[in-house]
Amino acid sequence: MLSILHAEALPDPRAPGGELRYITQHFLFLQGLRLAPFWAASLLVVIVAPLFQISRWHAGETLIIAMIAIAAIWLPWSHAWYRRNYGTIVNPTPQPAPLGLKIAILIYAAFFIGSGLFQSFSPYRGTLNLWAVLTFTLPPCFYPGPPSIFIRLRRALYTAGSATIFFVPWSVLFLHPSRYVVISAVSGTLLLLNLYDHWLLHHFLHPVALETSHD
Amino acid sequence: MTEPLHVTPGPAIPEIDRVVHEPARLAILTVLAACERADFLFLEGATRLTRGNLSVQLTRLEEAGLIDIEKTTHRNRTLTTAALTRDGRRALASYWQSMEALRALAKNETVKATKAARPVRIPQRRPAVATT
Repeated sequence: MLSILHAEALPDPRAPGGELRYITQHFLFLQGLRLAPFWAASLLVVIVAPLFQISRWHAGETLIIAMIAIAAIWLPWSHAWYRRNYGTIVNPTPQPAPLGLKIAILIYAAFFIGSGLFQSFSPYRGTLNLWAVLTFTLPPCFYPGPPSIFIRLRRALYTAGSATIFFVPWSVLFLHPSRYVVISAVSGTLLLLNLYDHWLLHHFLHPVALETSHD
Repeated sequence: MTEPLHVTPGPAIPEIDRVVHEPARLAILTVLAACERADFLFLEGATRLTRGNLSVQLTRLEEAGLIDIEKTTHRNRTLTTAALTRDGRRALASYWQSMEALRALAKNETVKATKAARPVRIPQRRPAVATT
C-alpha cells in the first residue's frame, strides 16, 4: 500500500512551516521601518548639504539633531505601531551564534588594531568606522532559511549590501571619493535593506483571511 | 478450490497524531515552537486563519494540553497569548519523527516498486561488420 504513496507528497520536516519559523525567529529584525528613518535622514542630509553648500560641520550637527529626534519620537511610536499591526512575540528561539557576526567583528577589530599600529590609517578612521554596520548586515547572510524565493532574495540583498558597505569605505584609500558619497552609499544600502525587511514582514504576516481548515 | 490469498505483512506504518497533523493546528504549533509566547494578532497574521477559525483551533490545542493560553489586560484591551506546553513540544517533535519515518518508508517502497516494474533489458546482438 505504501508503494502508491509518493515520498515527496508527504510533508518534509525541514520544509513545512520553514517560512513561519523564519518569520517568527526574525520578527524583530524584520521590523525595518524602525531604523529606516535614520538612514533616510542621513541620506537626505548628505544630498542636501552639498546642494545648498552647507558646511560639513553644520551638516553633521543637523544629522545628529535629526538622529536624536528620530530616536526620541520615531522609535517608541514605530514599536507601538508594529505591536498594534503585527502583534508581539516573546523570546524568539535564539539563533545559533551566527558566523556572519563573528566575521564582521573580526573585520572591525582587525581594522582597529591595524589603524592603531599604522598611524597613516588615522585620517581614514572616520570613514572606515562605517564598517561597524557590518555587524548588522553580515549575520542575515549566514542564517539558514527555508527554500523560499523571498527569503533567498533577502539573503542575496544582504550579501550584496555587505559587500557594498565593505568596499565603499575601503575605496577611500585609493579612489578618494567625497565623504558625502561614501555616507550616501552606505545609508542608501541600509535603507534599501530595511525597506525590503519591512516588505518581507508585511508579505508573510499581512492578514489575508484564508480558510485553510475548520476541522 | 482456489488457493488462499497470502498477504505478506508490510512494514509498520508510524502513527500520526491527528491533533497535530491538521494543517492549521500544525501552523500554530510551528510558530509557537519558534518562540516562548505569541499573541493572537501575530498568530492570525502568520497562519492566515480567520479569527473564528484561529480561536477554535487554539481551544482544541488547549483542550489537548498542547498549548497554554493566557489572557491579560493591557490598556483596557484583552491580550490573548499562547505558548507551547512541554507536552506540546514533545508531541510536535514526535510528529516530525513519525513523518520522517513515514517519508523514508514511502521512499523505500517507491524505489522497490520502480525496480520491480522496470523491464528487463535484453542485450542486442551487434550486426556483423562486413570485412573486405
